[in-house]
Amino acid sequence: MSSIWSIYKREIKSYFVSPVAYVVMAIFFGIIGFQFYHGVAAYRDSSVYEGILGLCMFVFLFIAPLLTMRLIAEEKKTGTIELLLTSPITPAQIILGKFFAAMTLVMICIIGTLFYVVLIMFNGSIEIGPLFSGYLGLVFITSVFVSIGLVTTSISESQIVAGILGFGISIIMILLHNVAGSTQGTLGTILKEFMPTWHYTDFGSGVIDFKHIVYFLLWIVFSLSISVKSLEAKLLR
Amino acid sequence: MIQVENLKKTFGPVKALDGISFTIEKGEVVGFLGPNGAGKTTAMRIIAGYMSATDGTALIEDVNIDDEPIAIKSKIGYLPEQPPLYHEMRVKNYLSFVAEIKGVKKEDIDSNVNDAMKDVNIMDKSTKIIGNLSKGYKQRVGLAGALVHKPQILILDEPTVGLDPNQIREIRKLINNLKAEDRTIIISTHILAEVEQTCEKVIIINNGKIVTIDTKEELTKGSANQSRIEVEVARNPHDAVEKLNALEDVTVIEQADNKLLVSVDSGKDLREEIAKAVLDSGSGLLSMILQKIALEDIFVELTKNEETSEEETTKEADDE
Repeated sequence: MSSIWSIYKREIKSYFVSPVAYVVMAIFFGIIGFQFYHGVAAYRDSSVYEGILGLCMFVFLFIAPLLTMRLIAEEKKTGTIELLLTSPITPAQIILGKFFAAMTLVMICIIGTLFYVVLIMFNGSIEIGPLFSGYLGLVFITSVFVSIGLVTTSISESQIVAGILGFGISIIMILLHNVAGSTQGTLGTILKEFMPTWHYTDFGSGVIDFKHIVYFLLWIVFSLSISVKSLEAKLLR
Repeated sequence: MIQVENLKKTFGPVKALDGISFTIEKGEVVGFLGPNGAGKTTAMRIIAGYMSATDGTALIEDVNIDDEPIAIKSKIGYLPEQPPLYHEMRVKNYLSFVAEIKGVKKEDIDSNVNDAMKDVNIMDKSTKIIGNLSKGYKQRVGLAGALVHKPQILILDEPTVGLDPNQIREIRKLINNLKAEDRTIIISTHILAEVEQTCEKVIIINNGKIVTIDTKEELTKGSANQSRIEVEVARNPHDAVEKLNALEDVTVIEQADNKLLVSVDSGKDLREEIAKAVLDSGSGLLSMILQKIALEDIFVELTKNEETSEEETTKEADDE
């Protein structure tokens, strides 16, 4: 546990020493703030918030690769992976430390948006139920995005490759999300069941379904396991 | 104790290690010698647990590293060829991080970090950002990282690369201090002076195979029946070469202008005969200097022979 904490602390410091954290937060709050401003001009109730949470998800689809692309690929490039893998820590501890670090940045962004909630609360009305489920869903789906980002950085030797791979996956997800929406019949159902973005929609409308939570957890465990296996493969090569 | 048995490692068609075996006792300082690409780094990486072998075993204190990687890795301090440094970190923070992941107890971290910095003489750089340090200092920070958890076994891959002569001397002093603490040290290098001054045992490796394992004394003693004499003549060096080659056990192995390098194989002191032969040839003897055969010559000879035999094998295979 203490090793995960050590990796986590180092990674968090590294985010704030480099411009990554600041750039990511500037992009995120810029886009969300703009959307909020326009939403508020039209309505002052929960409907503003549904739009904002949905947008948050799509912004994170592109922010997650930015946050994760460096995590393992950079260690391989600079040779520090040799330090980690010859230390008495397991690949799983390395991956978890890095996962929690990236998720902390995501959580800072998510918590930052509560400022808008407070603004609406004081100047209009907001339903707490859908708001809570919306945020819960957002935490789950961003964890999925970050864990997929960890897979791309674990299998790449350079962070540029990891980043491009991550963005590629994000674009494919958006395309498939739209295809799933417009496809009828079995294929449409299969696509919707497969796509994390479709599982999020129920959370957005105030429904917390255990099925969706299990689905997200499976994605996270699956992606993190692939990342761990990829590091273990480096030891076994 | 480190026991390596029939260790093999292949990367695709390339045999990086071709069945090497050796034993290193506790407290021994061993020099791992070999030309670039000989397989030194691969062997060290396997022992340090960074890579697994294709075949064979590496036992650290009778335990296979593949069976108990965590326990074994906490006993080893490993400095790779390229020091594994986070360039954005400050020296002290980096070493504290390394101490943490190496499993040093929280209350010991500060003292261990200070000891490591003192050992490699970087106390004055503790608050500096690693990326801004010179190559020599980076190398020392890497070395401090390998020492910070006070490991019983140290594996140092080219520890003096990029250091100036004063720093190299300091590192040698440090290795000698560590030796006094009964730690087992493996140093890979192709700088022979380093091995001559720090190591007790030498493992020479070439093309993935061990060419020789011996103590430094035995290795140089093995060549005691061979000596070299540098002879300078005034004129007609060819006449002198002819006369010298006619002597039993004497061969002229090099000639540059009027200087000849003469090898004597019998172990006898043939200086008088050589002087007489040169004088008889009418070349005029100006000077004679007896040279000591150094580890360098043994290294060159052993790895050269290996290369030649390798070439021969390839040639034979091609002929077939």
